[in-house]
Amino acid sequence: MDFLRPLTWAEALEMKAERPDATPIQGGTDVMVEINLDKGRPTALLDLAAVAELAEWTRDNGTVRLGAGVSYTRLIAELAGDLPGLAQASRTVGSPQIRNRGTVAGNLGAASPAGDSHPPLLATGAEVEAESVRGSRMIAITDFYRGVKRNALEPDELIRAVRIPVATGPQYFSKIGTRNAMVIAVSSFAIAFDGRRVGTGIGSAAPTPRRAPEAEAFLESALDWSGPLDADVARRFGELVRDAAAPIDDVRGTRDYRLHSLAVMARRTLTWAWEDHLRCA
Amino acid sequence: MTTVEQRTGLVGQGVDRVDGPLKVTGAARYPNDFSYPDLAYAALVRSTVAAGRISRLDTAAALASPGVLAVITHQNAPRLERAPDSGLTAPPPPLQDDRITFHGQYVAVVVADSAEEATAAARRVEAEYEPAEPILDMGDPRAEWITDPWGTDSSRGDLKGALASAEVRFEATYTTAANSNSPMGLFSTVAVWDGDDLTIHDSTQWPSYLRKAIAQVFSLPEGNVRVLCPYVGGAFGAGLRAWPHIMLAALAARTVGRPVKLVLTRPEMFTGVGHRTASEQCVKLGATRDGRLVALAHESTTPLQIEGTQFEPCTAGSASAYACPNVITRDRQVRLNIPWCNFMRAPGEAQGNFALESAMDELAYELGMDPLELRLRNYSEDNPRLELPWSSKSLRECYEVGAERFGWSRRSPEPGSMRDGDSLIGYGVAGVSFFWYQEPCEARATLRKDGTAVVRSAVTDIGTGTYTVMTQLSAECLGLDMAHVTFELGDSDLPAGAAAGGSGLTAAVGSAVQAACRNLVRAFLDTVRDDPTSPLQGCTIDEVSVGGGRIHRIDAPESGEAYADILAAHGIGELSADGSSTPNDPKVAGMAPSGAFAARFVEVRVDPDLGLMQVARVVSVVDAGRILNEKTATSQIMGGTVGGIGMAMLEEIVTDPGTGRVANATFGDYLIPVNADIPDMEVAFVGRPDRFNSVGVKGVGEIGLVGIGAAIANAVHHATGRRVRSLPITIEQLF
Ligand SMILES: Cc1cc2nc3c(=O)[nH]c(=O)nc-3n(C[C@H](O)[C@H](O)[C@H](O)COP(=O)(O)OP(=O)(O)OC[C@H]3O[C@@H](n4cnc5c(N)ncnc54)[C@H](O)[C@@H]3O)c2cc1C
Repeated sequence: MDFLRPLTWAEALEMKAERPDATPIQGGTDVMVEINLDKGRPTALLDLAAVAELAEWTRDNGTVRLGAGVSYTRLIAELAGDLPGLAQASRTVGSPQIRNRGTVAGNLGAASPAGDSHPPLLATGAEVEAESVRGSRMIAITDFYRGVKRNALEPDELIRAVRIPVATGPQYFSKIGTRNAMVIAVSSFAIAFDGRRVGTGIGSAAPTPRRAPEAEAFLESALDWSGPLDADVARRFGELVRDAAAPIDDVRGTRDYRLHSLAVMARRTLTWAWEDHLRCA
Repeated sequence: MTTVEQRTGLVGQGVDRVDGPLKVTGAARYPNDFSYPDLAYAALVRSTVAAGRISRLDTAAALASPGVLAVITHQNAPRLERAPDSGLTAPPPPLQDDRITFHGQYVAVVVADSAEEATAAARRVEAEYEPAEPILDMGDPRAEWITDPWGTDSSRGDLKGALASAEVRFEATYTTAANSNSPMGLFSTVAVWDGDDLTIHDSTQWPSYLRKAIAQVFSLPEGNVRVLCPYVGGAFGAGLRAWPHIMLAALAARTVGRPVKLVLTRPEMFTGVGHRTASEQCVKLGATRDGRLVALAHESTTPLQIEGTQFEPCTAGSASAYACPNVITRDRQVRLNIPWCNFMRAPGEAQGNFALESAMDELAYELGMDPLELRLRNYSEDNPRLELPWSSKSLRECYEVGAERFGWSRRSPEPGSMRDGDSLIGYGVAGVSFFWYQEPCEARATLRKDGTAVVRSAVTDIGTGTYTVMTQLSAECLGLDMAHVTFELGDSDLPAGAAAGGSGLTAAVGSAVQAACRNLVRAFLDTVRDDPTSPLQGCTIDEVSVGGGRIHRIDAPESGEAYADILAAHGIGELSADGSSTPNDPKVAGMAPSGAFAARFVEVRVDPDLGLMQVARVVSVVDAGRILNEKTATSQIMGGTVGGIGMAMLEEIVTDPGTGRVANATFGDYLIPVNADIPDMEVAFVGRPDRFNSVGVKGVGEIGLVGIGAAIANAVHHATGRRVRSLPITIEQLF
C-alpha cells in the first residue's frame, strides 16, 4: 500500500489525478475501520490531513464554505449559530474522539445512508464543491448520493468544501439509535425552514439519504404561517415523510419501525421548529 | 434497619484503591505490557465453518511471508496432553486433529518477528473444509440433550397436585440472549521458556489452576511453570479456564525458541474465551388468592458447545428463593456447534432470576397485589431446600430500605398510569438470592525487621479490589497502618489461591489471610515465650491484641512490644506464617450457607410513540454480610448494574443461522451500554456479618448484575402494560 501525503491542495489534486485508485483519508474514522475489518485493502492512501486549506471555513453571502478538513468538534464549537441543524447532527456523531477526527466531507465520501450529516445537508440545500486538476464544480446535494455508499465524485475528484446556506429559520435534527451514544442511526430526520420554504432530509431509510419533496410541498401550501400548528397538518406531514422513505429490515432495525419512527420524528421536529417560528415571528 | 457491625479499625472503610495510582498513571502492568528481548508475536487462524473437517491446509504462502518464523497446524503440532478438569472440563488442547466443532476454532497459529507480520501471514494460510451440517438450533432433532447436568435439579412436595388445585395459576416462557463477557482488556499471553521452565503472563482469574493445567498440557512438573497476572484488564469469568490460545502461545514460544506474545483480537474474544449462554425457561406458579405460593416449577434449557461441560444452573436458585412447599427445578443443556460457553458474571443466576422474578411480577398482577408485597409474603426465613437456617439473611431489610429510598409507595398500581409529560413511567422490583460458593485457599504473612508486612496469596484482582481489601484486612489483623502492609497476588509461585469466581474469593482469601495473620502473631508470641525481658512473655494468643505496630496484652494495653523490636531483640530478619481456609460444611455447621441477597428497584421512562426506553434510576440494597470496603463494594454493585442494563437492553450475540459464525463480533455491532445509557445508581448495604466464614463476608462481585433484567422488564410492564419476556428488550417490542 502506498501512502501519499500532499502538503498543498494543488499537490493533492495532482496526486489524485495520477493515482485515481488512491483512497483519500481525512479523519480516517471510516477508512481505518474498513481497513481494520479487512473490507478491501486500498492500493494507496492519499492523506489529506496536512493540507492546511482544507481545515478552514469561511462565510460569504449567506453561505458557509466548510473546508473538507473541518472536524465535527470545530463545527459544533464555531458554527452552531450559522448551521444549527448540521451542528445538532454533528453532536450525535460517535464520541468526542470521533468528533475530533471525523469530518462532514468524510461523511460525504463514505456516503453511507446512515451518515448523520446527510439529512441536514439535504434539508438546507447544500452543495458539494468537487475539484480535480480539470477544474472545480458544484454538485447539488440531491445529485450527490448515487447509491449505497456511492457518490457522484469522479475518480480524479476530491471534495474541497461543502457549501451550506446560513440558517434563516429554525432547523432540527432527530436521530434514533439503539443506545444513547456511539451508535449508527436506525433512522434520522432533519427539517429546515428558510423563509416560507421547508427543507427535509431522511437518513437510514432508503438506499441513499433523500428529501421528502411531497411533504415539503404539502407543508408550504398547508401551513398558516401566523397561527398555531394544526395537529392534522403535522400528522399529514409525518405521513408524507414516511411515504418518501424506502427502508429495509436489517440488524439495526426493521422496515416497519423505520417508517413509523420517521413519521413521529417528522411530526416532532416540525412541532419544535414551529414553536421557534412563532417565538421569532 | 440493621447496619453491618463494624469492628473498629480499617476494615469497612471506603479507602481508595491501593492500586489506583498505578492504574491511572499506566504503571500497572497488564499481561500484554510485558516484553522480552527477542520477543516474537503470534496470530491465530480460525475456522470458517462450524462443523466438519479440515480437508486441506496450505501454509506455504504464510511461511514465505516476511518475518514469519513458524506456522503451526494440526499437521505439524506436537501432541499436547489434556489439561486437568477444574470441576469443569478443560477445553481440549488445540491443533490435535482435523475436526471442527465451531466457527472460529483455531486451525493454525503463525509466529513472526512482529505482530503485523504475523497478522498479515495468518491471512495467507489457506484452509479448505469438508463441512458438515452444523447443529445451531436447540430444536434441531440431531442435537444431544443432557438432563440434570450437574445434579442440581431439585424436587420437593407434590408439584402436580399443588398446581392442579391452586386457586391461581400462572405459566410463561422466558428467553435470554447469549452475551459476551467483553472485558476491556484483550486477553493476552506472553510465554517465555528457559529450558524446561515456562513463565506465562496471562489474563487469568486463577493462576494456581492455570499453572497446573499448562504443566499437564506440556507434560512438565508443576514447579516448572509460573503464571503471572498482577493486573488483569477485566474478565467477568472469561479468565476461569485454560483456553487453547494460552497453550498455543506457549507452544509457539517453544517451537521458535523465543518468547512469544499473543493478544487476541476483539472478534477472537467473541469465540475464544467463552460466553454466557442463551436460555429458554418455563416458569409455572400456583398460589392462593391471598398470594401464598403453593407450587413453583422452573425449567431451563441452555445451549452447550459440542465438547466439555459448563456449569450454568439457571433454575437452582429458584429452589430456595421462596418459601413454597411444592417445587421442581430442572436444567437441561443442548449441544450445538457454537463457541465455548463459559462463566460470565452471575452464570445461570442472571438468566434464571430474570425468569423467576418476571413470573413473580406477573403473578402479582394476576392477584392484584403489590409485587413487593407478594415477595414479602413468600419470604423464606429458612433455606427451604436444605431445611436449615440461613447463615445470614437480611433480604427483608433490603426490600424495606430499598422501597423507602426508592419511593416505592408513590407507585400507582395500574400499568400506564404514571406519566411525566410525554413519557410513561414505570417502577419495577426484583429480589435476588445469590448462591454461595467458596474454594480452599492459602496465604502467607511475613513481618520484616522494619516493622512492615507483606501478605501473599496466588489470587487475582480482576478490578474488584482484592489488593485493597486484603491490605485493609491484613493491616487490621496485624495492627499495622495500611501504608505498612503490602498485599501480593497474581503469581502462581505464591501460596495456592482460590479462583476469582463464584463471588467466593473474598471469603476464601480473606479467611486464609486472617488465619495467616493470626498464626504470625502466634509465631511472635512463640518467639518471646521464654524471654524474661518481654512484657509478652508467656502470653497466649487469646490474651493479646494488636495495634500501632505492636502486640500488647489485652488486660494491660501499655504492656506490649513492637514487632520490629521483637525481631531485633532475637536477631531474626523476618518472621512468616501460613494460613489456609477451607469451606465450611453446611451439615456440620448446621446452617445453609448464604450468598448475598439484594433488592433491586428500577424506574424506566418510555417514549411510547417511539418505543424508546431509558432506565432513569436504580436503587440497589444489598445484604453482603460484612463489607470490607464500602467504596469498592459499591463499585462492584454499580459495575454489575451496568452489566445488567446491558443484558436487559442491548447485549445479544447474533449467530449467523446458516454458518454458525458470530455475526456481530465487534463493539460496533455488539452494543454494550455507554455512559449516556446509565442512570443514577444508588447502592446501600444492610445486614450483619455472615456466620459461615470467619471474615463474615458474602461476595459482591456478581450479584450487582442479577435482578436488573427482571426489574427493568417489570418496570416496562408497569409503564406500558406490555410484558416483555425476552432479553434484550428492543425498540421493536415497545412501539
Ligand atoms: C466509533 C465510530 C463511531 C461513529 N459514529 C458515527 C455516527 O454517529 N454518525 C455518523 O454519521 N458516522 C459515524 N461514524 C463514521 C465516521 O466517523 C463519519 O462518517 C465521519 O464523518 C467520517 O469522516 P472522516 O474525516 O473520518 O472520513 P475518512 O474516514 O477519512 O473518509 C471517509 C470516506 O470519505 C472519503 N474522503 C475523505 N475525505 C475526502 C475528500 N476530501 N474528498 C473525497 N473523498 C474523501 C474517504 O476516501 C472515505 O471513503 C463513526 C465511526 C466510528 C469509528
